[in-house]
Amino acid sequence: MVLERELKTYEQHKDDLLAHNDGQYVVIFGDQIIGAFSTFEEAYKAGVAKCGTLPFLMQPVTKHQALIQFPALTVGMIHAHP
Amino acid sequence: MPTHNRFFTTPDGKMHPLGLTLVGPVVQIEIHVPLPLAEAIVREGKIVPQPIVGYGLIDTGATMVCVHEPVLKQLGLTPIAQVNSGTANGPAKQNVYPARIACPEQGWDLSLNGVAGVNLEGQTVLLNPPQPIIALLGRNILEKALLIYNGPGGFWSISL
Repeated sequence: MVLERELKTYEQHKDDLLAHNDGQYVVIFGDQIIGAFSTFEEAYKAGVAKCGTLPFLMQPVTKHQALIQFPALTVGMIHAHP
Repeated sequence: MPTHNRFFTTPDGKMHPLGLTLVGPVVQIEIHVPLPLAEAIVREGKIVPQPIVGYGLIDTGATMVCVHEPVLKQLGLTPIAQVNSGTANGPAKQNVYPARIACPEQGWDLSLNGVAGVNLEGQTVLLNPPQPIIALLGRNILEKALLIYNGPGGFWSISL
């Protein structure tokens, strides 16, 4: 699965990131934390500068991740992602 | 703010509310590789994929913009995060991709904090011929917009 290693790295460092970077975007490549940034644009530019075209994780640092809703998907009007 | 108006009329120029009902609030859009990634692709001596053209349906029910995932993959994009979403089968993880959405007709160039990759297979706009819907334009676009949907009048309008 894409980002599996990066998501695991985030979980390992989540408490520390929440303590110091709450509300920011953290950029993770493999098991390496590239940095934490205030905006999506800054984080994305830093991720591309470091990783080029390789996949990297841009995780919003937050205690509770919001539930995203797509009612058209929820009621099956449009296919849900498997 | 530039305003886009779409009036549905019959061939003899009368209001056509059913036309709006059938077609819905759609705009032609282009999905692009984000600029920082395009620059990285060029630095690597590769060719930047051409934007993919289709229609976006304005969806006030969607929290964020979602794009047909095969379109994102066709552009060579890879996920940058995941979000939790509700589906007919319960909570599910959706991949989030970086993407740039442009609407040349309206002059919009929308920078978004990621779009969700979803399956919009078979969704079409009832034009002649039918055109594919490749994105649902959700509330993270509408938070910057004034949207008017006039069903009885057969028109909709957006200022963005």
